[in-house]
Amino acid sequence: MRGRAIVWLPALLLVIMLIGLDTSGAAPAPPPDAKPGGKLVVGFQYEPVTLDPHVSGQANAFRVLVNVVDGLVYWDQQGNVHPMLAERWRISPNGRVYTFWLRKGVKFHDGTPFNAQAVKFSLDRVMDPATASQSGRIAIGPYDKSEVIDDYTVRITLKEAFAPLLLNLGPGPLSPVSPEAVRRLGRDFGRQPVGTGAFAVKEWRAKDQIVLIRNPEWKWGPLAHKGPAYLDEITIKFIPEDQVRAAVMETGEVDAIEDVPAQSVADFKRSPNRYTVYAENFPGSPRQAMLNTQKAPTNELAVRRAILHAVNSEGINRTLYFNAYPVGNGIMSAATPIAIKGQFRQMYPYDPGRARVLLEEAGWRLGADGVREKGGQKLRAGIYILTDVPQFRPLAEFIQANMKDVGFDAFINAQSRSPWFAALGNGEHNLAPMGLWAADPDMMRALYHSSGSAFSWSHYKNAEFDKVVEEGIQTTNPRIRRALYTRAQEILMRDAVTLPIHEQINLYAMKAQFKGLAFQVNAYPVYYNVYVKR
Amino acid sequence: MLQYLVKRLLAAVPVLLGISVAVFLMMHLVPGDPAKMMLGELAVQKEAIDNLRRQLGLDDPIPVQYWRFLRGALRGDLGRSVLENQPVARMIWQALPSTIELTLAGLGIAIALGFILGVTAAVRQNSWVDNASMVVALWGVSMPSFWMGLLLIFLFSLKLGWLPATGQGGLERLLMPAFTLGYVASAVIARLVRSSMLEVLRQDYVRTARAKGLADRLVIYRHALKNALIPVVTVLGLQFGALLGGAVVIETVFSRPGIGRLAVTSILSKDFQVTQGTVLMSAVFYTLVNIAVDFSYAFLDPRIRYD
Repeated sequence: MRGRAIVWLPALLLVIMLIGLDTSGAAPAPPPDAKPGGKLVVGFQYEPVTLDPHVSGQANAFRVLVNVVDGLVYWDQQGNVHPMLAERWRISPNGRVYTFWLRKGVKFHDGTPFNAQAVKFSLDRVMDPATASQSGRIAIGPYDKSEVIDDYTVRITLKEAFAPLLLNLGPGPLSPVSPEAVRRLGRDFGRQPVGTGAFAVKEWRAKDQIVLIRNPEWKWGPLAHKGPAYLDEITIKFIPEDQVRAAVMETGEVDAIEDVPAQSVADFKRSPNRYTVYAENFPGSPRQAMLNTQKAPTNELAVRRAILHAVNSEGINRTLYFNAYPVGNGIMSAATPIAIKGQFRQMYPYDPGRARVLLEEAGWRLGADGVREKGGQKLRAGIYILTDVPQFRPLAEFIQANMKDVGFDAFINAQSRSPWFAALGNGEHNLAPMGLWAADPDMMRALYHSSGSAFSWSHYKNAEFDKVVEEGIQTTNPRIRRALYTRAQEILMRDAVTLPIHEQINLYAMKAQFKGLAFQVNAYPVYYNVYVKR
Repeated sequence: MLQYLVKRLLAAVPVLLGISVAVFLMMHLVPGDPAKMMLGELAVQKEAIDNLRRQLGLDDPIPVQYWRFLRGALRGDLGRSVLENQPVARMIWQALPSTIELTLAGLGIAIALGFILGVTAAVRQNSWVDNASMVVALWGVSMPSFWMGLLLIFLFSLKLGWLPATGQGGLERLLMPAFTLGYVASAVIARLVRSSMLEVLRQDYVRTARAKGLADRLVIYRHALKNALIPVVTVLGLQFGALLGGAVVIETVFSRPGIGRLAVTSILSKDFQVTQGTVLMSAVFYTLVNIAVDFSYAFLDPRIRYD
């Protein structure tokens, strides 16, 4: 299975500090019982396609990679920036020139030195069409060039201001990799990526497992513990079946699992002495159904608003997900670091009565068959879902039933990935369930700007909104950005361009004797701080 | 004999050619552009997509593309995975041992179980043993293998803790997947062995053998079973194909690497080179196994000769 509908739009972010400083303040000392040693086995649902950070567009790959490659900077889960491979940096007042002073004495896993040339090589590689970069090509924004000032100073120039760049330079799709290894391994680099991270890839057996081993040289950790990692080895096993993945936690075959099935969360929580359950909210969009603003009948504002009132998000969470996923916050997830926690969803509480009134007022009259009509047209709407994301089917059926209650004839159209993307791009759908992970509110530009992108499935056109999000990437001032993006969300919710359903949560379970797990800004687990409590 | 072998192998050529054409066309008629898949759906630059299409030769007419695929396949080059950027032949080669191990073990269990159930049922026709054996067989035919797999994991891994539920390597990781795979096939075999045995047991030579005073066991295993084998062996060859197909599900449930999972992931992601390669490989196996089955007839029944 290749990723999921959820595509990782490379982070993007907020607080762009002009000079990088460690903002963690007085970091707590590492726990006294933390000792090196031990092995961890983690069960994953999906195998990544490649571990080449510059090529991949998959969240599955970056969940592994954030432990294998480093960033020039590091962003913690609260949205604070820390130095990593760069000791400090400066952004020019016009927001186009970034200068980084790099850490000395860093080596890649293959022993070759990390320096300004490696940074330039990596960024140029992302831009090279031959690389066929997915996330990286978006993360790098309007990149112009990198210049090596000296061995440990690099200057990056953009064609225009692009506020999310510093966030995107965290561990991820722009991470420096060993130029020597890229040349040596060629197309196989994605199977044996060579970075500077806390763990190195030791072995990857297809459809079976990836083994990571500790990098003993690593000592620039962003948390209180600077490194190297405590664990000797991490084995990532691919266990596609939900029930089996949950069962092997109990049999002891694995110590932790990603993508805990929602129905198993309560079981693990019942034994807090044996398991720790993490429910980390992904930044980005909630799981939502984008509403096509160009195709009838969802081209009518009243119809879109009626859909938002008609769908019972609480009921979905309770019935389908055993209360594991809280109701969607609005346009952006509550975890997005710019922290717009407006609860915009409350503008449209679940109220089928209100939905019926809105439809009546708009001229949609109930027919004898229970389906509303106007001017001889039935109130018919298509929900387009992906076949390879099994969770979409019950979700779409729930929405379909809710819509039927207020007089819609909603139908579900399930397709495989390529035709699905094509149909949504052409605007054949009325509702498109999807979710996007991104740490910067600039994500809204990708989804709703009228110039269009691979994901503008609301086919929304609004000059006022366009202007607001265009301003959003011009400035690095967090206060101004917050005001702009709050305005942007208000406009989108007013126009009911999407149906927010539930927050996207990284459900992660780990045996209780493993302590110290941290998550970075995208809610991906960071393992170097994990130790075994004896 | 040799002549027959050559004839059979030659006859297999058009079969395999037909399969290769069918697979090739199917993958090209399904909507979705591999170049776009490779660049990711995020790719919006048409230029990059066009470039890649040219590189992959996707702009050439279909017959030209097919000819290139066939020429490569004959030399053992199945192309490169669109997504993973690896030679398909290498991916298959890495996945193959695990699937062969699973299929052979599954076949072994199917034969052992199928014969024990089938012969017992035939010899004790209409007794409770017969009925019980056929109920067990009916279960096997009716129960979906993924469900069976989950039940086994629940019992032997979770409750009893005897066997690991996932992975590959060692007998303990092979037992449950092989049993799940073999059980379904054993049911088919058991029912066939039973009816075939019943027929043979009514033959004159069996009565003669019994009249000579031969031990019952000798009559059943030496005289009757061997002659009852021919239809069973034919089905075994066909079951081999079903086992290869079953591996697709079993490998997913038990998280084993193998051809089945390779095929499924490639189909879902439209990694067309990998799908073509895996299907073609399976077809070659299937054809060869069935030729081998035809040859085994002569050993089972001396009256059969190959001219």
